[in-house]
Amino acid sequence: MERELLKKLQREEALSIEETLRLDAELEAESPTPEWLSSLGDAAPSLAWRSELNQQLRRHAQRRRHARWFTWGSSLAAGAAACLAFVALFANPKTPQVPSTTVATNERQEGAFVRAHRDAEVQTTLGVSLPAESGSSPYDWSQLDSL
Amino acid sequence: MSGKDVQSEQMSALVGVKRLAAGRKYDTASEQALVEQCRRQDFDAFSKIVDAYQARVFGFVKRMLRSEEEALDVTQEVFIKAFQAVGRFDGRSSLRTWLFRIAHNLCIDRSRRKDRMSTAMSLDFVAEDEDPIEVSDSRFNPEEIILREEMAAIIDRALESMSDKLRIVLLLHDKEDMGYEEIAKTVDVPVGTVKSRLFLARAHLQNYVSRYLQGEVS
Repeated sequence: MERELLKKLQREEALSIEETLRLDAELEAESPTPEWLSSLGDAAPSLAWRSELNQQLRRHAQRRRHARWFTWGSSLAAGAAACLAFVALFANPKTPQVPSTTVATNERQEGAFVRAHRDAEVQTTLGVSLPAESGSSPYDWSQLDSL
Repeated sequence: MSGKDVQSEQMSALVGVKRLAAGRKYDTASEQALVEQCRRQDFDAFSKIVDAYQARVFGFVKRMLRSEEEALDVTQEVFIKAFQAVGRFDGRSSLRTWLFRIAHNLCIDRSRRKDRMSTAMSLDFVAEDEDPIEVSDSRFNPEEIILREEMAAIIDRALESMSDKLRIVLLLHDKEDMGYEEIAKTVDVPVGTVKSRLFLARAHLQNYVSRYLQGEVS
C-alpha cells in the first residue's frame, strides 16, 4: 500500500472514493489474522467467579423487587386513602333540614295572621266587629316576631 | 510463493483445528426469547445468557486490560450492568453487540483510570491459561502442541503491543466475527474508521509475527 494512503489511514483522514475502494480490496484479500485470532482460546472464568456473580445478580434482583413493591404499595395506599376521603366527603351530603314541628307551628301562625288580616279588612270596610270563629282563639300579635 | 505466503501457511498449519467456542450459541429467535424472559426478571434466563457469553466477554476484556484480575472484575461488571439495563434493551442491535459495547465502555473507563504500561505476558502465564487440547488426534504430536501454544503467546503479545483502538477492532472483527456496521455501533465510530483501523491492526499483527519468526523479536 502506498505510503501516502498509509499515512492517511494512520491519521484517520477522509479517503477519496478510489482510496476507499483500494482499502476495501485490501481488507477482502485473504488474511491469516482471522484464523490466528479464532484459534485463541477463551477460557471461561472459574466456578467461584460464577458463583459470586450469581450472588450479586440475585442481590440486584431482590433490591429491584423491594423497590417495585414499595412503589406499588405506596401508590395503592395513596389511592385507597383518596377513595376513602372521597366517600367520606361526598357519599352523605348534609343539607340543612328544618324540623317538622317548626314548620307546622309556622304554618298555623301564618294562617291565623291571614285570617286576622282579612277580618280586620272586613271590619274596617263594614264598620262592624266579626264574631270569633268557634274553636279558634284570637290571634296573638305578640307571636308575630316568632314567624 | 512469496515469503509472506510461506509464513502464513506455516502458521496456519501450526494453528490447526479451531477450538470449540466456549459456551452455547443461540440463534437470533432464541436469544430474543431469552431477552424477553430477562425483562420479566427471569434469573434463569439471564443465567443462560451469561453461560453463552462469559468466556468470550472475559477473553475480550482480558486482552483489552492485560490483567486477569481486572478482567474478572470488569467481566462481572459487564453482566451486572446488563442485568440492570436489560429492561431498556430495545433489540435494535444484537445481544452480542450490546454486551460487547458494555464491555468496551467499561474497558475504556478502566484504562482511563490508570496509566497503562505495556507488560509482556510470560509464556508460563499463557500456557496455564490455555485449555488443553480436548480432541485426541494423531496429527497433533506434542511438538506441534507446544508450537501452537507458543504461537498463541506471540499473537497475544502482538495484540498487547498495539493501541487499544486497533486491538478492539481487530478482536471484534477477526475473532468475534462482527461486521463493520456492528463494530461501528459497538465502538461508536464511523464505518470508514473501522475499516482503516482493521487494516492497520492486521498489518501490525502480521508484521510483529513475521519479525518474531525472523528472530527480530524475542
